[in-house]
Amino acid sequence: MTTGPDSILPAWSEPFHATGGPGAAKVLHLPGAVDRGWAYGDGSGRGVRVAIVDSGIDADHPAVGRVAEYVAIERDDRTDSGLRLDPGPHADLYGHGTACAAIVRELAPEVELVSVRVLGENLKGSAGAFAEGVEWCIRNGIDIINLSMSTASDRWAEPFWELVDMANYHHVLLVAAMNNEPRRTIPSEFAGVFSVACAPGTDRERVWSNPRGPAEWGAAGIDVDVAWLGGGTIRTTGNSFAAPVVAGHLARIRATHPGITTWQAKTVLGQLATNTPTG
Amino acid sequence: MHNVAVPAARPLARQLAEIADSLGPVVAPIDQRRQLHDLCALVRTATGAVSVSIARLDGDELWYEAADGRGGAEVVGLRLPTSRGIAGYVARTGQSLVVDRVEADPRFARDVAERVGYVPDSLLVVPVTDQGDEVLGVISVLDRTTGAGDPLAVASAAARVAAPVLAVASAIGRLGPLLVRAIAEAVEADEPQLATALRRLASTVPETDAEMAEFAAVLAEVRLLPPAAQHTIGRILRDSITLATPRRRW
Repeated sequence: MTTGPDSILPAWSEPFHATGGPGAAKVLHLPGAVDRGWAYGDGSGRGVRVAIVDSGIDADHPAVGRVAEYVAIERDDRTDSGLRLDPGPHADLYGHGTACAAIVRELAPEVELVSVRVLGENLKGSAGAFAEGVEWCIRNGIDIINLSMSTASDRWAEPFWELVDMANYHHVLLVAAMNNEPRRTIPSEFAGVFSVACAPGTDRERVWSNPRGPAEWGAAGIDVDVAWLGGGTIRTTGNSFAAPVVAGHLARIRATHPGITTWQAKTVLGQLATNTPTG
Repeated sequence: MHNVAVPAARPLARQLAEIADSLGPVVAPIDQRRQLHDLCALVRTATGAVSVSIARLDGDELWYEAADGRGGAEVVGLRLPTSRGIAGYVARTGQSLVVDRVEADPRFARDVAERVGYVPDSLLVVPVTDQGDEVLGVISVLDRTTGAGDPLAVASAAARVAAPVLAVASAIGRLGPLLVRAIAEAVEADEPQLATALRRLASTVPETDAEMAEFAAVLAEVRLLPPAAQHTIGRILRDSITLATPRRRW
Protein backbone atom coordinates (compact mmCIF):
# COMPACT_ATOMS: atom_id res chain seq x y z
CA MET A 1 0.00 0.00 0.00
CA THR A 2 1.26 3.43 -0.86
CA THR A 3 -1.57 5.32 0.83
CA GLY A 4 -1.57 6.59 4.40
CA PRO A 5 -3.47 4.97 7.27
CA ASP A 6 -6.41 7.35 6.95
CA SER A 7 -6.66 7.07 3.18
CA ILE A 8 -9.49 5.27 1.52
CA LEU A 9 -8.98 2.78 -1.27
CA PRO A 10 -12.05 2.64 -3.50
CA ALA A 11 -13.00 -0.83 -4.73
CA TRP A 12 -11.36 -2.02 -7.97
CA SER A 13 -8.35 0.20 -7.27
CA GLU A 14 -6.46 -2.60 -5.48
CA PRO A 15 -4.42 -3.83 -8.51
CA PHE A 16 -2.82 -0.40 -8.84
CA HIS A 17 -1.73 -0.43 -5.19
CA ALA A 18 -0.47 -4.01 -4.90
CA THR A 19 3.28 -4.61 -4.69
CA GLY A 20 4.54 -4.27 -8.26
CA GLY A 21 1.32 -2.50 -9.32
CA PRO A 22 -0.83 -4.12 -12.01
CA GLY A 23 2.26 -5.64 -13.66
CA ALA A 24 3.63 -4.39 -16.96
CA ALA A 25 1.42 -2.75 -19.55
CA LYS A 26 1.03 -4.75 -22.78
CA VAL A 27 3.33 -3.11 -25.31
CA LEU A 28 2.97 -3.41 -29.06
CA HIS A 29 6.39 -3.25 -30.70
CA LEU A 30 5.68 -0.79 -33.48
CA PRO A 31 8.34 0.15 -36.07
CA GLY A 32 8.55 3.59 -34.44
CA ALA A 33 8.12 4.64 -30.82
CA VAL A 34 4.84 6.14 -29.58
CA ASP A 35 5.89 9.12 -27.50
CA ARG A 36 3.87 11.88 -25.84
CA GLY A 37 4.76 14.40 -28.53
CA TRP A 38 3.34 12.23 -31.31
CA ALA A 39 0.34 11.11 -29.25
CA TYR A 40 -0.67 14.39 -27.59
CA GLY A 41 0.49 17.02 -30.11
CA ASP A 42 0.32 20.40 -28.39
CA GLY A 43 -1.75 18.86 -25.58
CA SER A 44 -4.56 21.39 -26.00
CA GLY A 45 -7.39 19.01 -26.92
CA ARG A 46 -8.48 21.77 -29.33
CA GLY A 47 -11.98 21.30 -30.77
CA VAL A 48 -12.65 17.92 -29.13
CA ARG A 49 -16.19 17.74 -27.75
CA VAL A 50 -16.11 16.20 -24.27
CA ALA A 51 -19.44 15.50 -22.58
CA ILE A 52 -19.68 15.32 -18.80
CA VAL A 53 -22.72 13.12 -18.04
CA ASP A 54 -23.31 14.10 -14.43
CA SER A 55 -24.95 16.66 -12.10
CA GLY A 56 -24.42 19.63 -14.46
CA ILE A 57 -21.44 21.98 -14.86
CA ASP A 58 -20.97 25.36 -13.16
CA ALA A 59 -19.60 27.48 -16.04
CA ASP A 60 -18.88 30.34 -13.61
CA HIS A 61 -16.27 28.28 -11.81
CA PRO A 62 -12.82 29.71 -12.69
CA ALA A 63 -11.41 26.21 -13.25
CA VAL A 64 -14.10 25.32 -15.81
CA GLY A 65 -14.37 28.17 -18.31
CA ARG A 66 -16.87 28.12 -21.13
CA VAL A 67 -19.46 25.37 -21.52
CA ALA A 68 -20.20 24.93 -25.24
CA GLU A 69 -23.56 23.19 -24.94
CA TYR A 70 -26.05 22.01 -22.33
CA VAL A 71 -28.72 19.37 -22.25
CA ALA A 72 -30.67 18.24 -19.17
CA ILE A 73 -32.59 14.98 -18.93
CA GLU A 74 -35.80 15.76 -17.05
CA ARG A 75 -38.75 13.66 -15.95
CA ASP A 76 -41.84 13.96 -18.14
CA ASP A 77 -44.70 11.52 -17.65
CA ARG A 78 -46.27 12.56 -20.96
CA THR A 79 -43.51 10.92 -23.04
CA ASP A 80 -43.07 7.18 -23.76
CA SER A 81 -39.72 7.04 -21.97
CA GLY A 82 -40.98 9.21 -19.09
CA LEU A 83 -38.07 11.57 -19.88
CA ARG A 84 -37.55 14.78 -21.85
CA LEU A 85 -34.44 16.63 -23.05
CA ASP A 86 -34.10 20.30 -22.07
CA PRO A 87 -31.51 22.34 -23.97
CA GLY A 88 -30.33 25.64 -22.52
CA PRO A 89 -27.99 26.58 -19.66
CA HIS A 90 -28.42 24.85 -16.31
CA ALA A 91 -26.69 24.88 -12.94
CA ASP A 92 -24.72 22.11 -11.28
CA LEU A 93 -26.97 20.71 -8.54
CA TYR A 94 -24.24 19.17 -6.40
CA GLY A 95 -20.70 20.04 -7.58
CA HIS A 96 -19.74 16.58 -8.85
CA GLY A 97 -20.04 17.43 -12.56
CA THR A 98 -18.09 20.66 -12.09
CA ALA A 99 -15.28 18.62 -10.47
CA CYS A 100 -15.10 16.27 -13.48
CA ALA A 101 -15.27 19.13 -16.01
CA ALA A 102 -12.44 21.06 -14.34
CA ILE A 103 -10.16 18.00 -14.40
CA VAL A 104 -10.68 17.59 -18.17
CA ARG A 105 -10.12 21.35 -18.68
CA GLU A 106 -6.89 21.21 -16.66
CA LEU A 107 -5.44 18.47 -18.89
CA ALA A 108 -6.83 19.62 -22.24
CA PRO A 109 -7.55 23.38 -21.94
CA GLU A 110 -9.08 23.88 -25.40
CA VAL A 111 -11.74 21.16 -25.40
CA GLU A 112 -15.40 22.02 -25.95
CA LEU A 113 -17.17 21.00 -22.75
CA VAL A 114 -20.76 19.76 -23.01
CA SER A 115 -22.86 19.38 -19.86
CA VAL A 116 -25.33 16.48 -19.97
CA ARG A 117 -27.23 16.70 -16.68
CA VAL A 118 -28.88 13.44 -15.63
CA LEU A 119 -29.78 14.22 -12.00
CA GLY A 120 -32.76 16.52 -12.33
CA GLU A 121 -35.70 16.91 -9.96
CA ASN A 122 -37.95 13.89 -9.45
CA LEU A 123 -35.91 11.57 -11.67
CA LYS A 124 -36.63 8.03 -10.58
CA GLY A 125 -34.36 5.14 -11.48
CA SER A 126 -31.23 7.12 -12.22
CA ALA A 127 -29.71 4.40 -14.47
CA GLY A 128 -32.36 5.15 -17.11
CA ALA A 129 -31.33 8.81 -17.14
CA PHE A 130 -27.60 7.87 -17.41
CA ALA A 131 -28.45 5.70 -20.42
CA GLU A 132 -30.52 8.47 -22.01
CA GLY A 133 -27.63 10.89 -21.52
CA VAL A 134 -25.08 8.54 -23.07
CA GLU A 135 -27.33 7.92 -26.07
CA TRP A 136 -27.81 11.67 -26.60
CA CYS A 137 -24.00 12.04 -26.67
CA ILE A 138 -23.56 9.29 -29.28
CA ARG A 139 -26.19 10.87 -31.53
CA ASN A 140 -24.96 14.45 -31.15
CA GLY A 141 -21.36 14.46 -32.28
CA ILE A 142 -19.63 14.03 -28.93
CA ASP A 143 -16.02 12.74 -29.21
CA ILE A 144 -15.49 11.65 -25.61
CA ILE A 145 -18.05 10.87 -22.89
CA ASN A 146 -17.10 10.99 -19.21
CA LEU A 147 -19.50 8.92 -17.11
CA SER A 148 -18.42 9.01 -13.46
CA MET A 149 -21.41 6.89 -12.43
CA SER A 150 -22.50 3.29 -12.75
CA THR A 151 -25.36 0.98 -11.84
CA ALA A 152 -25.23 -2.43 -10.15
CA SER A 153 -28.64 -3.42 -11.48
CA ASP A 154 -28.55 -6.54 -13.72
CA ARG A 155 -31.52 -5.33 -15.71
CA TRP A 156 -29.45 -2.45 -17.09
CA ALA A 157 -26.69 -4.73 -18.38
CA GLU A 158 -28.21 -5.31 -21.81
CA PRO A 159 -29.25 -1.69 -22.56
CA PHE A 160 -25.73 -0.54 -21.63
CA TRP A 161 -24.10 -3.33 -23.66
CA GLU A 162 -25.96 -1.98 -26.68
CA LEU A 163 -24.95 1.60 -25.90
CA VAL A 164 -21.28 0.66 -25.47
CA ASP A 165 -21.28 -1.14 -28.84
CA MET A 166 -23.12 1.79 -30.41
CA ALA A 167 -20.52 4.22 -29.02
CA ASN A 168 -17.71 2.09 -30.43
CA TYR A 169 -19.17 1.90 -33.94
CA HIS A 170 -19.81 5.66 -33.88
CA HIS A 171 -16.16 6.15 -32.82
CA VAL A 172 -17.17 7.78 -29.55
CA LEU A 173 -14.74 7.13 -26.68
CA LEU A 174 -16.68 6.24 -23.50
CA VAL A 175 -14.80 6.71 -20.21
CA ALA A 176 -16.57 5.18 -17.19
CA ALA A 177 -15.60 5.15 -13.51
CA MET A 178 -15.70 1.85 -11.65
CA ASN A 179 -18.04 1.84 -8.63
CA ASN A 180 -16.29 2.71 -5.35
CA GLU A 181 -17.73 -0.46 -3.88
CA PRO A 182 -17.07 -4.11 -4.76
CA ARG A 183 -20.23 -4.86 -6.72
CA ARG A 184 -21.39 -4.96 -10.33
CA THR A 185 -20.45 -1.77 -12.11
CA ILE A 186 -22.31 -1.21 -15.37
CA PRO A 187 -21.18 -0.07 -17.94
CA SER A 188 -17.64 0.34 -16.55
CA GLU A 189 -17.04 -3.42 -16.26
CA PHE A 190 -17.54 -3.87 -20.03
CA ALA A 191 -14.46 -4.20 -22.25
CA GLY A 192 -15.63 -1.59 -24.77
CA VAL A 193 -15.22 1.34 -22.38
CA PHE A 194 -12.20 2.98 -20.76
CA SER A 195 -12.90 1.74 -17.20
CA VAL A 196 -11.06 3.70 -14.53
CA ALA A 197 -10.16 3.22 -10.84
CA CYS A 198 -7.70 5.01 -8.55
CA ALA A 199 -3.93 4.70 -8.95
CA PRO A 200 -1.39 6.00 -6.41
CA GLY A 201 -0.54 9.67 -6.13
CA THR A 202 -2.20 12.90 -7.22
CA ASP A 203 -0.26 13.62 -10.44
CA ARG A 204 -2.82 13.80 -13.25
CA GLU A 205 -0.12 13.44 -15.91
CA ARG A 206 0.22 9.75 -14.98
CA VAL A 207 -2.05 6.98 -16.26
CA TRP A 208 -1.66 3.27 -15.45
CA SER A 209 -2.71 0.35 -17.64
CA ASN A 210 -4.09 -2.81 -16.03
CA PRO A 211 -4.29 -5.39 -18.85
CA ARG A 212 -6.25 -7.83 -16.67
CA GLY A 213 -9.19 -5.48 -16.02
CA PRO A 214 -12.00 -5.04 -15.27
CA ALA A 215 -10.56 -1.71 -14.06
CA GLU A 216 -8.40 -1.31 -17.16
CA TRP A 217 -6.98 2.15 -16.39
CA GLY A 218 -5.72 3.81 -13.21
CA ALA A 219 -5.34 7.53 -12.48
CA ALA A 220 -5.18 9.95 -9.55
CA GLY A 221 -8.36 9.92 -7.44
CA ILE A 222 -7.29 9.54 -3.79
CA ASP A 223 -7.07 12.69 -1.63
CA VAL A 224 -7.29 14.91 -4.70
CA ASP A 225 -8.34 18.57 -4.83
CA VAL A 226 -11.25 19.18 -7.21
CA ALA A 227 -13.42 22.14 -8.19
CA TRP A 228 -16.82 22.30 -6.43
CA LEU A 229 -19.79 24.61 -6.03
CA GLY A 230 -19.29 28.24 -5.08
CA GLY A 231 -16.06 28.69 -7.04
CA GLY A 232 -13.89 26.80 -4.55
CA THR A 233 -12.35 23.38 -4.24
CA ILE A 234 -12.75 20.38 -1.95
CA ARG A 235 -10.47 17.43 -1.23
CA THR A 236 -12.06 14.12 -2.10
CA THR A 237 -11.50 10.44 -2.94
CA GLY A 238 -13.24 8.29 -5.51
CA ASN A 239 -13.00 6.54 -8.86
CA SER A 240 -15.31 9.34 -10.10
CA PHE A 241 -12.38 11.75 -10.09
CA ALA A 242 -9.92 9.35 -11.75
CA ALA A 243 -12.15 8.86 -14.82
CA PRO A 244 -11.93 12.48 -16.09
CA VAL A 245 -8.12 12.25 -15.91
CA VAL A 246 -8.27 9.50 -18.55
CA ALA A 247 -10.86 11.53 -20.50
CA GLY A 248 -8.43 14.48 -20.50
CA HIS A 249 -5.55 12.36 -21.85
CA LEU A 250 -7.86 10.95 -24.51
CA ALA A 251 -8.92 14.49 -25.51
CA ARG A 252 -5.28 15.33 -26.26
CA ILE A 253 -4.96 12.16 -28.35
CA ARG A 254 -8.24 12.71 -30.18
CA ALA A 255 -7.33 16.31 -31.05
CA THR A 256 -4.06 15.16 -32.56
CA HIS A 257 -5.55 12.07 -34.25
CA PRO A 258 -9.13 13.03 -35.15
CA GLY A 259 -11.62 10.17 -35.28
CA ILE A 260 -9.30 7.71 -33.49
CA THR A 261 -11.33 4.70 -32.33
CA THR A 262 -11.58 3.14 -28.89
CA TRP A 263 -9.26 0.25 -29.72
CA GLN A 264 -6.68 2.46 -31.46
CA ALA A 265 -6.74 4.94 -28.57
CA LYS A 266 -6.32 2.10 -26.04
CA THR A 267 -3.18 1.00 -27.86
CA VAL A 268 -1.74 4.55 -27.86
CA LEU A 269 -2.60 5.26 -24.21
CA GLY A 270 -1.19 1.85 -23.20
CA GLN A 271 2.17 2.70 -24.81
CA LEU A 272 2.30 5.90 -22.70
CA ALA A 273 1.23 4.32 -19.40
CA THR A 274 3.33 4.89 -16.29
CA ASN A 275 3.81 1.13 -15.91
CA THR A 276 4.95 0.55 -19.50
CA PRO A 277 8.31 -1.25 -19.43
CA THR A 278 11.17 0.81 -20.80
CA GLY A 279 14.16 -0.36 -22.83
CA MET B 1 -78.97 -3.02 23.70
CA HIS B 2 -78.17 -2.85 20.04
CA ASN B 3 -76.56 -5.66 18.16
CA VAL B 4 -74.41 -3.71 15.61
CA ALA B 5 -71.89 -5.58 13.46
CA VAL B 6 -70.53 -7.52 16.44
CA PRO B 7 -70.56 -10.94 14.69
CA ALA B 8 -68.15 -9.59 12.03
CA ALA B 9 -66.00 -7.41 14.26
CA ARG B 10 -65.06 -10.05 16.84
CA PRO B 11 -63.40 -12.60 14.49
CA LEU B 12 -61.76 -9.70 12.67
CA ALA B 13 -60.19 -8.46 15.88
CA ARG B 14 -58.93 -11.98 16.59
CA GLN B 15 -57.44 -12.30 13.11
CA LEU B 16 -55.81 -8.89 13.41
CA ALA B 17 -54.21 -9.94 16.70
CA GLU B 18 -52.92 -13.11 15.04
CA ILE B 19 -51.39 -11.14 12.17
CA ALA B 20 -49.80 -8.72 14.63
CA ASP B 21 -48.35 -11.77 16.47
CA SER B 22 -46.89 -13.11 13.22
CA LEU B 23 -45.35 -9.79 12.31
CA GLY B 24 -44.38 -8.93 15.89
CA PRO B 25 -40.59 -9.11 15.68
CA VAL B 26 -40.41 -7.02 12.53
CA VAL B 27 -43.13 -4.43 13.05
CA ALA B 28 -41.98 -3.07 16.38
CA PRO B 29 -40.39 0.26 15.30
CA ILE B 30 -38.38 0.49 18.49
CA ASP B 31 -36.45 -2.67 17.51
CA GLN B 32 -35.67 -1.30 14.07
CA ARG B 33 -34.44 1.96 15.52
CA ARG B 34 -32.29 0.01 17.97
CA GLN B 35 -30.85 -2.16 15.18
CA LEU B 36 -30.01 0.89 13.11
CA HIS B 37 -28.57 2.71 16.10
CA ASP B 38 -26.40 -0.31 16.98
CA LEU B 39 -25.17 -0.38 13.39
CA CYS B 40 -24.27 3.33 13.60
CA ALA B 41 -22.35 2.68 16.82
CA LEU B 42 -20.53 -0.27 15.23
CA VAL B 43 -19.50 1.79 12.17
CA ARG B 44 -18.43 4.65 14.43
CA THR B 45 -16.16 2.34 16.42
CA ALA B 46 -14.71 0.68 13.32
CA THR B 47 -13.95 3.98 11.59
CA GLY B 48 -13.03 6.04 14.64
CA ALA B 49 -15.65 8.57 13.50
CA VAL B 50 -17.11 11.42 15.55
CA SER B 51 -20.64 10.67 14.34
CA VAL B 52 -22.50 8.17 12.11
CA SER B 53 -26.11 8.38 10.89
CA ILE B 54 -28.54 6.34 8.79
CA ALA B 55 -31.28 8.02 6.74
CA ARG B 56 -34.13 6.39 4.86
CA LEU B 57 -35.08 7.67 1.41
CA ASP B 58 -38.76 8.59 1.19
CA GLY B 59 -39.63 10.13 -2.17
CA ASP B 60 -37.36 13.16 -2.56
CA GLU B 61 -36.52 13.36 1.14
CA LEU B 62 -34.03 11.71 3.46
CA TRP B 63 -35.49 10.84 6.87
CA TYR B 64 -32.76 10.46 9.50
CA GLU B 65 -33.76 7.31 11.40
CA ALA B 66 -30.77 6.68 13.65
CA ALA B 67 -27.45 8.23 14.65
CA ASP B 68 -24.63 7.69 17.10
CA GLY B 69 -22.06 10.19 18.33
CA ARG B 70 -21.84 13.96 18.44
CA GLY B 71 -24.96 15.74 17.15
CA GLY B 72 -26.73 12.37 16.94
CA ALA B 73 -29.75 13.39 19.03
CA GLU B 74 -30.28 16.47 16.85
CA VAL B 75 -30.02 14.61 13.57
CA VAL B 76 -32.60 11.87 14.33
CA GLY B 77 -35.99 12.91 13.02
CA LEU B 78 -34.51 15.39 10.53
CA ARG B 79 -36.00 15.36 7.02
CA LEU B 80 -33.88 16.85 4.25
CA PRO B 81 -34.49 17.13 0.50
CA THR B 82 -32.26 15.10 -1.85
CA SER B 83 -32.07 18.04 -4.25
CA ARG B 84 -28.89 19.31 -2.61
CA GLY B 85 -25.95 18.38 -0.43
CA ILE B 86 -23.55 15.47 -0.42
CA ALA B 87 -26.01 12.97 1.10
CA GLY B 88 -28.59 14.12 -1.47
CA TYR B 89 -26.18 13.40 -4.31
CA VAL B 90 -25.54 9.90 -2.96
CA ALA B 91 -29.27 9.24 -2.48
CA ARG B 92 -30.12 10.36 -5.98
CA THR B 93 -27.27 8.62 -7.82
CA GLY B 94 -26.53 5.55 -5.70
CA GLN B 95 -22.81 6.44 -5.90
CA SER B 96 -20.77 6.79 -2.72
CA LEU B 97 -18.89 10.03 -2.08
CA VAL B 98 -15.94 10.90 0.16
CA VAL B 99 -15.34 14.58 0.81
CA ASP B 100 -12.75 16.15 3.09
CA ARG B 101 -12.83 19.82 4.05
CA VAL B 102 -16.63 19.76 3.89
CA GLU B 103 -16.99 23.44 4.74
CA ALA B 104 -15.84 24.17 1.19
CA ASP B 105 -19.26 22.91 0.02
CA PRO B 106 -21.54 25.85 0.88
CA ARG B 107 -24.76 23.88 0.45
CA PHE B 108 -23.68 21.27 2.95
CA ALA B 109 -22.86 23.85 5.59
CA ARG B 110 -26.17 25.65 5.27
CA ASP B 111 -28.51 22.66 5.16
CA VAL B 112 -27.15 20.21 7.64
CA ALA B 113 -24.39 21.48 9.82
CA GLU B 114 -26.23 24.56 11.07
CA ARG B 115 -29.32 22.59 12.05
CA VAL B 116 -27.32 19.90 13.80
CA GLY B 117 -25.01 22.39 15.47
CA TYR B 118 -21.89 20.51 14.48
CA VAL B 119 -19.75 21.17 11.40
CA PRO B 120 -17.62 18.18 10.39
CA ASP B 121 -14.34 18.47 8.50
CA SER B 122 -14.89 15.31 6.47
CA LEU B 123 -17.83 13.28 5.29
CA LEU B 124 -18.12 9.80 3.79
CA VAL B 125 -21.56 8.81 2.48
CA VAL B 126 -22.51 5.41 1.03
CA PRO B 127 -25.86 4.40 -0.47
CA VAL B 128 -28.03 1.66 1.02
CA THR B 129 -29.47 -0.21 -1.96
CA ASP B 130 -31.78 -3.17 -2.52
CA GLN B 131 -31.05 -6.10 -4.85
CA GLY B 132 -32.33 -4.11 -7.83
CA ASP B 133 -29.88 -1.28 -7.00
CA GLU B 134 -32.74 1.02 -5.96
CA VAL B 135 -31.60 3.41 -3.23
CA LEU B 136 -33.28 2.80 0.15
CA GLY B 137 -31.21 5.31 2.13
CA VAL B 138 -27.71 6.48 2.99
CA ILE B 139 -25.13 6.00 5.75
CA SER B 140 -23.08 9.10 6.62
CA VAL B 141 -19.74 8.88 8.45
CA LEU B 142 -18.59 12.23 9.87
CA ASP B 143 -14.95 12.94 10.71
CA ARG B 144 -13.46 9.47 10.51
CA THR B 145 -10.06 8.93 12.11
CA THR B 146 -7.78 5.93 11.94
CA GLY B 147 -10.16 3.09 12.66
CA ALA B 148 -9.89 -0.68 12.42
CA GLY B 149 -10.54 -0.94 8.69
CA ASP B 150 -10.90 0.91 5.40
CA PRO B 151 -13.80 3.24 6.25
CA LEU B 152 -15.36 2.93 2.79
CA ALA B 153 -15.35 -0.88 3.02
CA VAL B 154 -16.75 -0.75 6.58
CA ALA B 155 -19.56 1.64 5.62
CA SER B 156 -20.39 -0.41 2.51
CA ALA B 157 -20.64 -3.59 4.59
CA ALA B 158 -22.90 -1.77 7.06
CA ALA B 159 -25.06 -0.60 4.14
CA ARG B 160 -25.62 -4.23 3.12
CA VAL B 161 -26.75 -5.01 6.69
CA ALA B 162 -28.98 -1.92 6.85
CA ALA B 163 -30.70 -2.69 3.53
CA PRO B 164 -33.23 -5.29 4.76
CA VAL B 165 -33.99 -3.20 7.87
CA LEU B 166 -34.77 -0.10 5.78
CA ALA B 167 -36.73 -2.20 3.28
CA VAL B 168 -38.88 -3.63 6.09
CA ALA B 169 -39.32 -0.14 7.58
CA SER B 170 -40.69 1.11 4.25
CA ALA B 171 -42.90 -1.94 3.77
CA ILE B 172 -44.33 -1.78 7.28
CA GLY B 173 -44.97 1.91 6.80
CA ARG B 174 -47.29 0.96 3.92
CA LEU B 175 -48.74 -2.14 5.58
CA GLY B 176 -50.19 -0.45 8.69
CA PRO B 177 -52.61 1.90 6.87
CA LEU B 178 -53.59 -0.95 4.55
CA LEU B 179 -54.60 -3.19 7.47
CA VAL B 180 -56.68 -0.44 9.03
CA ARG B 181 -58.42 0.24 5.72
CA ALA B 182 -59.10 -3.47 5.28
CA ILE B 183 -60.69 -3.75 8.73
CA ALA B 184 -62.83 -0.67 8.10
CA GLU B 185 -64.00 -2.12 4.78
CA ALA B 186 -64.63 -5.55 6.25
CA VAL B 187 -66.74 -4.17 9.09
CA GLU B 188 -68.68 -1.98 6.73
CA ALA B 189 -69.40 -4.91 4.42
CA ASP B 190 -70.15 -7.29 7.31
CA GLU B 191 -67.25 -9.44 6.05
CA PRO B 192 -66.05 -11.96 8.65
CA GLN B 193 -62.81 -12.88 6.86
CA LEU B 194 -59.99 -10.32 6.94
CA ALA B 195 -58.06 -12.23 4.24
CA THR B 196 -60.97 -11.76 1.82
CA ALA B 197 -61.17 -8.05 2.62
CA LEU B 198 -57.43 -7.66 2.11
CA ARG B 199 -57.59 -9.43 -1.26
CA ARG B 200 -60.43 -7.17 -2.37
CA LEU B 201 -58.40 -4.15 -1.25
CA ALA B 202 -55.35 -5.44 -3.11
CA SER B 203 -57.22 -5.18 -6.40
CA THR B 204 -57.84 -1.45 -5.89
CA VAL B 205 -54.49 -0.06 -4.68
CA PRO B 206 -51.19 0.68 -6.48
CA GLU B 207 -49.03 -2.32 -7.37
CA THR B 208 -46.52 -2.09 -4.53
CA ASP B 209 -49.28 -1.71 -1.93
CA ALA B 210 -51.22 -4.54 -3.57
CA GLU B 211 -48.23 -6.83 -3.06
CA MET B 212 -48.15 -5.88 0.62
CA ALA B 213 -51.89 -6.54 1.03
CA GLU B 214 -51.51 -9.92 -0.65
CA PHE B 215 -48.53 -10.69 1.58
CA ALA B 216 -50.56 -9.81 4.69
CA ALA B 217 -53.38 -12.04 3.48
CA VAL B 218 -50.98 -14.97 3.04
CA LEU B 219 -49.54 -14.39 6.52
CA ALA B 220 -53.07 -14.48 7.94
CA GLU B 221 -53.58 -17.92 6.36
CA VAL B 222 -50.17 -19.25 7.41
CA ARG B 223 -50.95 -18.27 11.00
CA LEU B 224 -53.86 -20.75 11.05
CA LEU B 225 -51.63 -23.74 10.04
CA PRO B 226 -49.96 -26.13 12.54
CA PRO B 227 -46.47 -25.11 13.80
CA ALA B 228 -44.66 -27.76 11.68
CA ALA B 229 -46.26 -26.41 8.50
CA GLN B 230 -45.41 -22.82 9.51
CA HIS B 231 -41.77 -23.91 10.02
CA THR B 232 -41.61 -25.55 6.57
CA ILE B 233 -43.11 -22.49 4.87
CA GLY B 234 -40.58 -20.27 6.61
CA ARG B 235 -37.71 -22.45 5.35
CA ILE B 236 -39.04 -22.45 1.77
CA LEU B 237 -39.38 -18.64 1.92
CA ARG B 238 -35.79 -18.23 3.05
CA ASP B 239 -34.55 -20.59 0.28
CA SER B 240 -36.59 -18.66 -2.27
CA ILE B 241 -34.99 -15.38 -1.16
CA THR B 242 -31.52 -16.93 -1.58
CA LEU B 243 -32.38 -18.25 -5.05
CA ALA B 244 -33.80 -14.90 -6.12
CA THR B 245 -30.63 -13.05 -5.08
CA PRO B 246 -28.52 -12.33 -8.18
CA ARG B 247 -24.92 -13.56 -8.15
CA ARG B 248 -22.09 -11.24 -9.06
CA ARG B 249 -20.01 -11.84 -12.16
CA TRP B 250 -16.69 -10.74 -10.69
